[in-house]
Amino acid sequence: MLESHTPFQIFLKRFFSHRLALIGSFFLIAVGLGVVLIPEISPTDPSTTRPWLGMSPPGTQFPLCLSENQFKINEDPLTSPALKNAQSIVLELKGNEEQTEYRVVLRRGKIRTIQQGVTAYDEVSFKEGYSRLEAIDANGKVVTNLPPAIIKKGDKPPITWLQNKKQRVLIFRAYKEASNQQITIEMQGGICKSIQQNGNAIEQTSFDGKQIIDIKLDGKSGWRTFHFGSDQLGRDLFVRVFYGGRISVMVGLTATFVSLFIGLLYGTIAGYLGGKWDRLMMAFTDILYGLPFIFLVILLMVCFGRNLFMFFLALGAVQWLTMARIARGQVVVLRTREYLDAARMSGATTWNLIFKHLIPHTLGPVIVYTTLTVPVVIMEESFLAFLGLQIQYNNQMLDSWGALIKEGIDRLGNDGQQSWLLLFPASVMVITLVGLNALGDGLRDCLDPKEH
Amino acid sequence: MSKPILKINNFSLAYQNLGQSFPALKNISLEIASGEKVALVGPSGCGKSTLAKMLMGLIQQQIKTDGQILWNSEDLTKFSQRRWQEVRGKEIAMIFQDPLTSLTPHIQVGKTLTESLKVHNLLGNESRINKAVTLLEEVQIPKADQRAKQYPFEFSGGMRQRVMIGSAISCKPQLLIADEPSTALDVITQEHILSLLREVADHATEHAMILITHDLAIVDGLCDRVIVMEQGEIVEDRATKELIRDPQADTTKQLLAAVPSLNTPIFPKEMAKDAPSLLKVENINLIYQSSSGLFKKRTESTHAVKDVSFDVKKGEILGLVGQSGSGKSSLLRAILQLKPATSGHIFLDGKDIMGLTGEDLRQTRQTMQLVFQDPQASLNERMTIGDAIAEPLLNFKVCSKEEAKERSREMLKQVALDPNWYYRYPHQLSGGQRQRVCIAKALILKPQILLCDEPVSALDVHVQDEILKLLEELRETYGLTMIFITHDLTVVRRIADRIMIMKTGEIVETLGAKEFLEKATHPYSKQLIHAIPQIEVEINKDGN
Amino acid sequence: MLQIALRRIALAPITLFVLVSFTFLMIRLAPGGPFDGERELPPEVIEALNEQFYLDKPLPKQYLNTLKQAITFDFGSSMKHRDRTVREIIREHLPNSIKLGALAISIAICVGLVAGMTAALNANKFGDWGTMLICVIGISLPTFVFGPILQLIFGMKLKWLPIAGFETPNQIILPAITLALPFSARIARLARTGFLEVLKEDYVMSAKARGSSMARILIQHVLPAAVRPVVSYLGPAIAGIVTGSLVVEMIFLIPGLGREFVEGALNRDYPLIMGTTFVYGSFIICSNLTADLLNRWLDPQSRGAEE
Repeated sequence: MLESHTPFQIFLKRFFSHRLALIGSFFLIAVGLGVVLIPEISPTDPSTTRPWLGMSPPGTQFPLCLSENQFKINEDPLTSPALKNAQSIVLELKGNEEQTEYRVVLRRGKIRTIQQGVTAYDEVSFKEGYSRLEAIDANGKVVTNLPPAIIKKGDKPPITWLQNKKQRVLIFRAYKEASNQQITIEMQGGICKSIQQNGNAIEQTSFDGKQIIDIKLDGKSGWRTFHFGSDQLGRDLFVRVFYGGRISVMVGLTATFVSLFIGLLYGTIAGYLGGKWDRLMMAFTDILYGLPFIFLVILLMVCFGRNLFMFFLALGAVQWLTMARIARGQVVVLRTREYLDAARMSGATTWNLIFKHLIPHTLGPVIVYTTLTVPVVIMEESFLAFLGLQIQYNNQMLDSWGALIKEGIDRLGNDGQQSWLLLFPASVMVITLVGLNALGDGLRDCLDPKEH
Repeated sequence: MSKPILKINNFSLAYQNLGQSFPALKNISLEIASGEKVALVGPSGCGKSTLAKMLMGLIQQQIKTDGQILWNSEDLTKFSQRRWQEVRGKEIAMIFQDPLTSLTPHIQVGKTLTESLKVHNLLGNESRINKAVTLLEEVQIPKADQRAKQYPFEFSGGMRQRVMIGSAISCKPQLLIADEPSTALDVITQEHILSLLREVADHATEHAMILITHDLAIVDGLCDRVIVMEQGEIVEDRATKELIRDPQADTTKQLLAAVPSLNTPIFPKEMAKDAPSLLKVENINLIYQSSSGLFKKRTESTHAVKDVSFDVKKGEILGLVGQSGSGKSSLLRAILQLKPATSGHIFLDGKDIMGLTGEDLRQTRQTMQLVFQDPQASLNERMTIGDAIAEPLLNFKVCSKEEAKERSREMLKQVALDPNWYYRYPHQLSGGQRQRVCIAKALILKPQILLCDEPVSALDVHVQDEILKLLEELRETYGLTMIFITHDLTVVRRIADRIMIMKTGEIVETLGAKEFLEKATHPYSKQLIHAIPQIEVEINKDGN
Repeated sequence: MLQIALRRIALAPITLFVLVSFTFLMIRLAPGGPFDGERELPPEVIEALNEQFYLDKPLPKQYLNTLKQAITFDFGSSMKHRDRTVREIIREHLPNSIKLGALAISIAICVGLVAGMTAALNANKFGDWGTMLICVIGISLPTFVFGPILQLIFGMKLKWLPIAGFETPNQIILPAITLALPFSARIARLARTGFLEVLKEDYVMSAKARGSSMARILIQHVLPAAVRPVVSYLGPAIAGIVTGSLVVEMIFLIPGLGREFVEGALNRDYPLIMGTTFVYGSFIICSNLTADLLNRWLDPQSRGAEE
C-alpha cells in the first residue's frame, strides 16, 4: 500500500508470477530468435538441393557445396556461397570412375571379335586394375558385378549365363577405380585465383557434391550436420523450418492486423452509434458468423488462385468478425462507465475523451485478442497447405510450416521411417502456437480488471 | 439463564497467506445461552463476520486457530466435514448480508427454501412444495403457492431476504446467525425485514440468535445483549439498555455517535424568500426511449423525470431524497446535460442552458460540477490522483501545467489528503480517500454550484461522517451552492437547508430542513421518517 | 422465450440464403470452368455438358436455378461422377461423418468437463496448473499434426491400431481422438473458468450453510450455472468439428462427406460443392441455434423473458 505502483508495474508483477505466460514468452523468444537469426547465420540456405543425399535422417553430415561446382581461374566460380567466401578450399575427391567398353561379337557361342572403339584385341584381361565388370546383351539386359575374368578370341564367354548360343553381340563394361584427387583452391574476394590438382596447377576444375570425401575451408571442416535431417532433395530441413517460420509468422501477423483494423473500425462504429445501426450491423455479423467460413475460404482459394493477397482477404474476412464483437462490447461497456461522465464534467473535449479515456481502456482486450488471433491464422494457413492449397507469391510456392508439414505427412513412409520430416516442422510450429496461446491467456489474466 | 449452548474459550484466529499471518480474532471468550438474543457490533474489519463464519465452518482461506469453541460441549474447531453437514442448517443456521446474490438463480425458490429440511431428512410426510408454501407464509410473502414455484429473479431484494430467513428457520435451529441482514436493503425494506426478525425472535423463545451489524440503532428492541468488537477483540459485552445508557469503550461511544438520529439539533440556513436563485429548473421531463426489434419498431419509454420544477438559491444546500429508481440521478444528469432532458428549461444564473451543445455546453461545466456516488467508477484508474485533479484546469486552459500541479497539491491539502500522494493511483486509496479526490476534482474549478449524487452512500458510517464534515467546511470556505442527493433522510437532514422528496419521477414534497419532521404531510415522507431506526433511550451525546 | 426462439429460427433461412448466394457467386465468378481440366473433350460434348449443368444460361437464371435446387434439396448429378446424383453421394457419405463427429463431440464434452471441474476444485495447485498447460498444448496442436503423430505412434511403431479405414470399430478410435482433442481442451478451460466463478458465488456458501453436501452443491447449485459457457461454446465447437473432420477424413482415409467436399472443391464439381456446403451450412446453423436456445433455457431469467 505504501510504495507507489503504477498500473503497469502491477501488470508486470502479475505477469512475472504467471507461470503459463512466462513459459509462453520463453517459447516465443526462442522461436523468434531462431526465425530471425538462423536463416541469416546459417552457412546454407533453404533452397540448396543435394539430390545425391536424398532423405537423410537428423545427424547426417553434408558438405557445403552444390551438387555441381565449377571453378575457373580469375572467374567467379559456380558454387555455394560458403565456398565463394572461403580463402582457401582443400578438397579430397573421389576420382571419377573410368569406364572402358568392349564390343564382343559371338558366333555359335564363341567369341569372334573384341573391339574397343576402333582398336581390335585378341585377348583382354579384366583380372587386375578394374573395380567392377558389367555385361549387357543385345536385348539390353544388364548383368552387373561379374567376377573378374579374361575374354579371349575363339573362347566361350567366361560366364555360363552368357554362353547362350543365340547371343550375337555382347558389351562388356569395365570400370577402373580412379585414384582420389587432392584439389586446393585459393580464392580472393570471391574470385578463383589458383587451382592445384594433386600438386599441379590447373586452369579449371569441376566436381560433383557426391564426389567429396573431405572438404576443408580455411583449415576448418567444410562439413555440416543436418540437425533436422533433409528432405528428398537433400535440402536442409533445419534451415527450411526456420525460414518457413518467417513466412508463417509474417502471414499470421499480417492477416491479424488486417482483421484487427477492419474489426476495430466496424465494432467501434457499431458500438458508438448504438441503437438501430448497432443492431443492424451486429445482425449482419451474426449472419456471417453462422456461415461455415472455412468452406468459403477453401472455395475462394480454389477458384481465385492461391496468391498471398487472396489469402489475407479470405482469412481477414473470417477473423474480423470476432474482433468487431470484442471492440463493440468494449465500447458499449465503456460508454456507460461513470468516469466518462466524470471526464466530460471536467471539460474534456471529444478528442480528449477518445484518446485519453477511451482508447487506453480498450487496449487490453485488443492486445489479448491479437495475441490469440495470430496462432489461429497460422493454423488456418497450415490447414489450407495441408489440403494442398499452399499459398503462392508471384507464382512461387511459399514453403510455410504448413507446407513442410504436408510434405512430412506425405513422405512419412509405410512404417514412419522418415518421421523426422513431420516431427521437426510440427514441433517448431506447435511450440510457437503454444507460446502464443499461453502468452495470450497470461495477458488476459494479467489485464483482467476484475482481479485488481 | 439456562445452560450455555455456545462457549468460546480464548479463541484466536489468524489468516495465513504466502507465509504471512494476519490475525483476525484475538483471545475471544464468550458464552451464549439457549434462547438468548445477542448482537455482535463493531466497525467493518473488526472480525465479527470472521467469527460468524467460523461458527458455521465456512472460512475458505487458510487459517490458524488457537483455543476452543464449544458447541453443546463439542469442540467445533475439530469437526469433520460430515459433522459440519449435520450441524449446518439444522443446529446453526445463517442469514447472509446480500439477498440478491445468496439465492441460487436457477433453482426455484421453494426448493431453496426447503433444502435444509431435505438434506437433514426432516421433511416427514409433507410434500416439499406444501412445506415451502407454509414457510413462505410464515415469512409473510403473499400468494405463497404461486411464489414457491418462481425463480429468485422474480423476487425483490426484500422478498429474497425473507426467503433466506424462511430457509434459515425451517429446521428450527438452536442458533440463528444473521450477518448484516438489512444492510443491503433500502430504508423502508430494512424496517420490514427487521420487524420480521423481531417476530421470529419472539416466536422462538428457546432458540438463540446472533445479530451481526455495524448499526447500533437496529439492535435496540431486538437483542438483549450487545458484544462490541474492535480489531479482533471484544471490548464490551453488556446488556443492551445498560450499554446504550452508559457506554464504556471508545468504540462503543463512536458507534453510538454515528447512529443517525432525528433528534440531533440542526442549524440550517434560512434563505430569504426573495434571494436570487442560482439555478432554476422549469418543467423538466426525461423520457428514456428503448427501442428493440430489428425490423419492427417497438419502443418502450420510461418516464424517469416527470414535469419537475424547483430552484436553488445562491449559497443554499438543497437535499433531494428518494429511493433508488425514483429518478433523482436522472434529474441530476438532465440538469448537467449528461443525459439531455426531453423538455423543459434550465436557467443557470438567469441564462437558459437547456439545449446547449458542443463548446458552449463544455464552457458551462466550469460553473457546475458533480461528485459521483461511486468514487471508484468515476476515477480513471490509469491516471494518478494528482493528474486527475489537475485535469479540469488543463482542459479549460485555466493555467499552465506547472501551476495546475501546484494547485492540485493545494487542493489535496484542502480535502485533508497528503499532497505527496500526487502520484498515487486510485486503487491505492480507500473509498473515503477516493471520494475526497473526487470532491477535490470537482472543486478545483471553483464552480458556482456543486451537485452531489449520493456521495456518501457507498461509505462506512464513520467515513460518511468525515466526508459530510469536509463538505460542511468546504461550504464555508467556498460559499458553495449545492444539490445533495441521497436516499438517507438522516444524512440530508444534517447537511441540507431545504429537503425535497422525490418518488417515481415526481417531487412530492419540499420543506425546510428544520420543519421537515413535524410538517411533512405526504404519506411517503412519513413512511421514510418512520423507517429510520431510533435508539429509544435518551442519551447525552456530548459528554460522559 | 418462445418469441426469441422463433426469431432466432427465422434468422436461420436468411443465413442459409446468404451462404448459398456466396457459394454461387464464388464458384461462378471465378475464372475458368469445371471442364477445363478434362483433356480434349470435343466441343459438342462440352456444349452438351454445359447444357446438362445449366451453364449455358445467363448468370441470373443460373442463380435462380441454384436457389430452386437448394430449396428442393436436389442438386442434380455430380460433374465428375456423372452417373451419380449429389443426393446419393451425400446419403452415402454423411452417416460416416456424423458417426465420427458425434463420437468426437461426446469425447470432447466428457473429457473436457471432468478435466475442467478437477482443475477448478484444485485451483492454484499443481494439478490445476498442469491441466491448463496440457489444455494450451491441446489447443495448439493442429488436427493434421496430431493425427499423423497418433498414426505414427500407435499405428506404425506400436502397431496397436489400424492407421486408416472405417470398417471396424477400432478404426474409429484414432480419428475420434484426433478430432476431439482441441475441443476437449477448450471445453476444459471454459469449464474451469465457469466452475471457479460459480464456486465464488455467495449462493454456494449459503447452500453450504444449509448443510448440503459437496456433491449436492456441485450438481445442483454449481453445475447448471458453470456449464453455461460450455453450452455457448457448443455451437462453434460443432462448426469446428465439421471443419476438423475434413482433415481427419483425409488423414485416416475415411469415406465421409468432408473428403467429398475437398475433392469436389479441388475438381470444381459445382453441384457437389453446392450440395456439401449446403448440408454443412445447415448443420452448423442448426447446432448454433440449438446451443443458443439451450443456453437461454438454462437461465431461468431469460427463459421467462418476453423480449
